[in-house]
Amino acid sequence: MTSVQMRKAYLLIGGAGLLLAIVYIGLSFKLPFGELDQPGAAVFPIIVGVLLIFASLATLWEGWRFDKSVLVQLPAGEDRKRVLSLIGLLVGYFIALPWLGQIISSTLFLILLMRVLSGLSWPRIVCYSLAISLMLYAVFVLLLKVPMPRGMLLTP
Amino acid sequence: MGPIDGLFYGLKLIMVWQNLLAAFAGALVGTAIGVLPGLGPIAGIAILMPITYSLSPTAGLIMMAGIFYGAMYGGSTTAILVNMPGETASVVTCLDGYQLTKKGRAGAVLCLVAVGSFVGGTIAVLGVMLFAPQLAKFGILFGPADFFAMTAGGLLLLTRISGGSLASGLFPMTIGLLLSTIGQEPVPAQNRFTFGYNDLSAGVELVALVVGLYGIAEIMSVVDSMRSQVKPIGVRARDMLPTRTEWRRSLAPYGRGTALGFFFGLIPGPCAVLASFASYRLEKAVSKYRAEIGEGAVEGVAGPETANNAAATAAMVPLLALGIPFAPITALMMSALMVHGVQPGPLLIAQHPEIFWGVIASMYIGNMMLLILNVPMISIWVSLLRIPHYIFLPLILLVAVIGTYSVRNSMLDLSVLFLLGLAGYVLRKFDFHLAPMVVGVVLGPLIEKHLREGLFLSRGDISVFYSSPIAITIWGLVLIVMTVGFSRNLYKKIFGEVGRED
Repeated sequence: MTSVQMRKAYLLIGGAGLLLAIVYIGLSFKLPFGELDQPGAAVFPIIVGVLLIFASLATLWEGWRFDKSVLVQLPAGEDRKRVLSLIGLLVGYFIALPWLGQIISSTLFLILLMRVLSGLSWPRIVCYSLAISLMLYAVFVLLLKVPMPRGMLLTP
Repeated sequence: MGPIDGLFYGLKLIMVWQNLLAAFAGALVGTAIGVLPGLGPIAGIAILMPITYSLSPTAGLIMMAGIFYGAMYGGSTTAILVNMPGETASVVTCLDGYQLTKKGRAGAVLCLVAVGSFVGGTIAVLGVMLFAPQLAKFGILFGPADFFAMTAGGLLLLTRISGGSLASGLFPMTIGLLLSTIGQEPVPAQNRFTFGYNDLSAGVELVALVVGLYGIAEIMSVVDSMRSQVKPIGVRARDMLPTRTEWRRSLAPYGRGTALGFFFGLIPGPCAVLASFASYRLEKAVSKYRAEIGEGAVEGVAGPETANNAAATAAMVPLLALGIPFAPITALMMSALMVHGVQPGPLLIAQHPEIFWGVIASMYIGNMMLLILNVPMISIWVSLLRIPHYIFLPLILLVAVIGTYSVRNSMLDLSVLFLLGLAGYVLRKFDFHLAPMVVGVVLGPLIEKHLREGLFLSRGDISVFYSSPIAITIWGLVLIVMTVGFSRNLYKKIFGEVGRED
């Protein structure tokens, strides 16, 4: 396990929140204000933006007051590799889904994810992945009629 | 309609195959969700929400309620057998439940928990039945300013009652409110913050948000600390009979857990979690056998498990009586009702008695179904725990993706799912609470509506928001809780060191 200071994390999150609040309020000012008895679309977002500034300042304040010895454990080594692989595979899956369609992209995603999560042999992984993928296709697409992407590369 | 007439009306409604099937499916899936780590009741309900759209509003709500209390039942199984809570409300159950398993009493404890959950759930339904219609009658008198105080004040209370520091609740809450402003605004239907994406006109999809925050983030957490899977011990049906002493010792915790759970269900916050922690503290303070609690005492399991089911049931009161959800699960239920064109609020009971009484009656039937599902069929649930991680985690991920995509057939929703999954994983690592974000997204449009209505009706006089007795009372309470009344020390005193939401 590797660790990070809680203080740094809070300061980073609070800073990001503050930046977001400024951009958000800037965009809100472009919306119509209306009158006080007929408030326009800008009123509520501006209130939310101000609240976000307050919440971000509270986060920064709490971060500032955290003792440097307060640490949060982050995954390291094999654990980190697994999480990063999962994130990478999810990104790849979402990119592949509209192009390859549900069955192919899901099967590929399952094969690679199972390989990351287990030490099983490739043939077993391929069998399990195909079984799960086809079962989900049967339940959701055929039975419940969920219109999942069929794949732009595969449809004429 | 009186409570007895209403209950008979509800029972007549539920005895239709679609409603009975919805109750059974909810109880069954809920138990499975509770048993399996990686998917809690919130993400589970969110994934299954699109399926409920094809049912009637009554059947949809019955199914969602079934998943909610089913997960409360199921969550205790893993806590007792493998010292791993299936969902957060069962964290305290691990403390004594697992100790009792090591003493060879696993079967008996599972039976006591199932009966306790049945008692807590069933008695709490009685409370909902009697209390919700009265509250709804009172709610009809509310004006926009009172509703504004209830929704905005309730949301602020939620950020503090969830525990932790001010920022850990307030920051996610404001992000939730910010997300709620994306899309078409309610009055002149003007697009806000859509950046040219038509898919965003309808706003951020709640299913994508909740499944991301609670499902994908949870799976990432499981993956980042994956160790060798603990195999549960087998439980035979004949081992499930508690001794006479165990029954006797469980009776008082059942009673205390029910009362405490019902109370916690009515206040904003992660009610089931808080109720189970508070019940554990209460048992440690008042039980005759308090010295044994922590070492493997039935009181440490019977009380909290009864309390979390009673709280899960009582959480329906603010939703059904006032149309205000104070927890992510009831927020999802409200959202599902609105998809069906049913406007939750004080008039729901009068205008849609079939929904209110149907759900009430389903809770009696559902609790009985759960008792049958959990006691004789315990070995089936235990076998679920033997499914390897490398099978069920990818399976849950795919179900989450398909469930999210199926709502609007939008790839943008999958991007939201991924980004919020990542955000949820990071925020949880640093002790931020996610419930205020979800409730913020759902309550945001309501808060804005009541704010604008209040200003419109008072012709721009902002004093309307702090002049009615109801608004004054709520804002006074919010002020006390936000400043002095709910300090960290007091929180620790009630819920203990471990009483945290996520």
